[in-house]
Amino acid sequence: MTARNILTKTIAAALLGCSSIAYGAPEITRLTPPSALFTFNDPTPPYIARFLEGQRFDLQCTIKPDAGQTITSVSFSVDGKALPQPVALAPATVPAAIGSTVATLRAFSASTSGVQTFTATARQSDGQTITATGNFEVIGIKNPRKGGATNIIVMIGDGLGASHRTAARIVSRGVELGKASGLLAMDTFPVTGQIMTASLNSIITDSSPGAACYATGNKSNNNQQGVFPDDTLDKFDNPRVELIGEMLARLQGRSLGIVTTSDVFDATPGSFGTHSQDRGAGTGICDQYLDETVANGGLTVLLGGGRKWFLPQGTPGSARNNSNDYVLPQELASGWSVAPGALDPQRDLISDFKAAGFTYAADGSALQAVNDSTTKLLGLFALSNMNVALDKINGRRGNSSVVNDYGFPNQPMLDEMTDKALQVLSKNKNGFVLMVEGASIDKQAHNMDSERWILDTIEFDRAVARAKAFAESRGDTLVIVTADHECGGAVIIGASQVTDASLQNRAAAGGGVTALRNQVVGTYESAGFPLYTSAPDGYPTTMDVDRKMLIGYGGNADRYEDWRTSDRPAHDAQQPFDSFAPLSTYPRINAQDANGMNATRPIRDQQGNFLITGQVPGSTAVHTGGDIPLSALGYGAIEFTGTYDNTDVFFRAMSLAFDGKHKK
Amino acid sequence: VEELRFADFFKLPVGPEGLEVTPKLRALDGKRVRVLGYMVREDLTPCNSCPIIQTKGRRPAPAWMSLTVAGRMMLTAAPASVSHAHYGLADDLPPQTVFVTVPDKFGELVPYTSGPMLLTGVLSVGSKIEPDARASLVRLTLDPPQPIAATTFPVGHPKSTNP
Repeated sequence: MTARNILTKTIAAALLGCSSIAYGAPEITRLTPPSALFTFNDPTPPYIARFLEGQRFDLQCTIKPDAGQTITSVSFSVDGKALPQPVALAPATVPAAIGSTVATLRAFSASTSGVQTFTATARQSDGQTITATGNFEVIGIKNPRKGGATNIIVMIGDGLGASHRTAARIVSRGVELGKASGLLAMDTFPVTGQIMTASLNSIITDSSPGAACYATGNKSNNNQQGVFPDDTLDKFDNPRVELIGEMLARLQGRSLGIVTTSDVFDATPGSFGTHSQDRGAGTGICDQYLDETVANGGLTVLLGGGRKWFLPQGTPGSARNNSNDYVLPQELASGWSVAPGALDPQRDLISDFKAAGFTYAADGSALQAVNDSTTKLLGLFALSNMNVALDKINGRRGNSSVVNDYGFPNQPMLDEMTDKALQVLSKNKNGFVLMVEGASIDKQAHNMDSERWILDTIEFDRAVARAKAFAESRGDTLVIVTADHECGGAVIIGASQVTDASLQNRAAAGGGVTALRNQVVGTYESAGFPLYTSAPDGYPTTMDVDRKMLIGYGGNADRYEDWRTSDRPAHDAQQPFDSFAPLSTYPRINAQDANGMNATRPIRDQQGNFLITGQVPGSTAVHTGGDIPLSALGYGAIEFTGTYDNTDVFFRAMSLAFDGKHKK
Repeated sequence: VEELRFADFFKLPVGPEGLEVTPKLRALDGKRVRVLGYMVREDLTPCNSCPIIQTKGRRPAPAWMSLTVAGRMMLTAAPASVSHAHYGLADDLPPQTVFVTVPDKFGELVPYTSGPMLLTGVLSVGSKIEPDARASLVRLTLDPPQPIAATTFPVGHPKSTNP
C-alpha cells in the first residue's frame, strides 16, 4: 500500500463519510480484525491481521445507528458464507462512541488458508441495513498433530537493542585490536534476523504489543495484549486472539512457562498468558494466569516478582482491588470456554495456585530446593519488580544494602530461574513453550542507568546460555533471542579519557560541561578499548574502571551525568517501602519527577553539574522505533533469517511447531 | 501518648508471603498515639474520559467520586498523592498508610493541607475494608477538636508557638 494509495483511499473514505451523513444511514465505525480493506478500502498486501489455520479469534464491529434508532441484529460472514455462531450486542461505552452498539462473534477459527474477506451486516430498528467488509489472511498448517520443534524458548530482552548487546559484550568479553575477545551466548547463535516493531497504532510500540505479537501473530494497540482494540471501557472484554501457549496446549498438550525479572503482571509476561486492553490491570491479569492459563493454556511455571497481586486484600503488601480485577461478559466466557472471573480482592491467589498443584518458592533458597519431582512451579520473589542484576550481585558479594533495603535479600538470578523452569517444563513429553524475559534492561534504560542495564543484559545472556545448552543437548528445541523494542536510543559514544579517580574529583567539584564532557568524552580513536574484568560469579568486578566505556541516549529525558555507577538505583514507586528511609533517600532522575515526596529526593548525579537536556519531556527515556536484532538457534532456526515484521516470528515458530520438516 | 512511627510497621526482610506487622505496632492497638506524617493529596480533577454514574435524585458524577470518603483522610510518612480518575484504587499508596477519621468532618470532605502534621488520637490495628473498598491496616481516630486557645503544640512542630 503506497502513501499515494493511502491518500486516495483516505479522501475516498472522507467523501463516503460525507455521503453517509447526508443520507442519514447507520455507520459501521470499527471492524475487527483490523484491515486496510476496511480502513482504506485497500485490498492489497500487507494484510494487517493474520491467523494460523485453526487459531481462534473474535470478530467484532461497532455500529453507530441513526438518531432515535437502535441496532437490532448483526451477522457476520466470511468469504460470503454466513457464520452460525451467536453474535452478542452490547452498548459502546467509550465516550466517543456513546450511542453505538458493539457486536461480537467469539472464538471463530478458519479451516482453510488464504486471504479471506469478512463482512458485518447490521440492521437497525427502522429496517435499514449497513454492511462493512474487511479481510485477513489465514496461514495453513500442513500437519497439525505431528510435532516439529518440540520445545520453543522465546527469550526477550526487554528494550534490548543492538547497542545494548554490544555494550554487554565489551564489558563481559572485551575488545582488543579491533576484535571481540569473546562472544556473548546470544552472539553464538547461527541465525540472525532484524525485526520491525511498530504497533497497531504507533511507530513506537510499548511492551504489550511488542511482546504480544510473538504470542498472537498480530498487532495490538499500545498497552493492549492478546486483544484487538474496541469501543468499550471494560479492560477484559476486547476481541481476543488465541495465544501461542493456549493454542499449543489445546492442540498438542504442550506446557507453558513464563519467567521474568519484573512483576509477573508486567506487559511482557502478561502478553504470553492473558488478554487485556490494560497492561496495568494487575489483579485481573494475575487471576487470569490461574483461571485461564493454568486451566486451558498449559501454564506450569510462573516465576518473577509481583507477589502483591497474589496476597488477599487486607494482608499488608497486597495490591489486589476491584478496580483492576476482571469479570468477563457471559458471552465471552462461554464462547471461549473459560472461567468468567470475579471481583474478589480477598482471594488468596498463592493458596489457589498451591491447590492447583503448584509448588511455591518465595526466595532463591526455596527455588534451589525445588526438587526433580516438581511438576508445577510458582515463584514470587518480591512484592513488585525484582531487584536488578547489579544490586543482586552486589548483595551476594556483600557490597551493597540495596536488596536489604527493598526487603528481599535472597532473590535468584535469571539463569537460576531459567534452569528451574527447564527442569519442570521438560517433564512434559509433548513439549513446551517457555518465555524468559530480562525485564530490567528496559527499566534501567528508561532510567538512563547504563551500568544497571549492562549488567541486566549480562544476566539475560547467562540465561540465554542455559537455554542454548538445553537446546544443544536435545535437538528438538528452538531458541529465539530478541526484544520487544529498543529502549532509550542507547548508543556507545566512546570512552572516558580519564581515570575513575579523576571522574570522582570532577563530579565532586561540580565540573559541569567543561570538566565532565569536554575533557572526558573520548571519541573515535581516543576511545581506545576500555578494559573490564569479570569476577568468578560471571559479572564485572566493577563498572567504574579507568577510561570506561561511555553511553549516550537518543531518546533521553533530562539527566545529569557523571559517568560513574550510582550506588543506588533510581527509586521505584511500586516498591512498598519506597517512601521510607532508606528507600526514601534513593534518587530521582531529574526535577520533573516531583510528585509528592519525590520532590524531596536527591537528583541523581546533580553534584557534577553536567546536565544533558532531554529530547523528550518527563523523567525517563523512551522506547525508540528502530529495528531490533533477533538470534535463533536449534530446530529450524534458519527460518529466522532476514528482515521482517515482529508478527512473522509467531508464524515462523508455529510452522516449526507443527510441520516437522527440518532434520532433528 | 505514645509515638507511632511508620518505619516500625513491618518486619524486614519480607517473609514468604505478605508483610508482617511488628510486635511494636501490634502493642499500640487501642492506645492513644501521636504520629507525624503528611496528608495524602486526593486529586479530584475532573476526567473527560471517565465513566459517569447516574444516581437517582443526584447530579451525575464520575464513578471515581465514590473513592473519596467524607470525614476521612489518609496519612503517609512522606508527601504522596493519588489520582482517583486515572488509577482508581490501583495507585502506589504505600502499605504503611494510616487511615484517619476526622471527627469534626463527618459528612464533608477533609480539605487538603500540605506540609507535615502531627496528629493525636486512638489507634486501631487490624485489617478492615473501608467504605471506598480500600483495605486499611492502621487507623487513627483523631481526638475531638479542642478550642484553639487550649491547643498546644510540641516544641519543633510547625504550628508550635514555642521556637
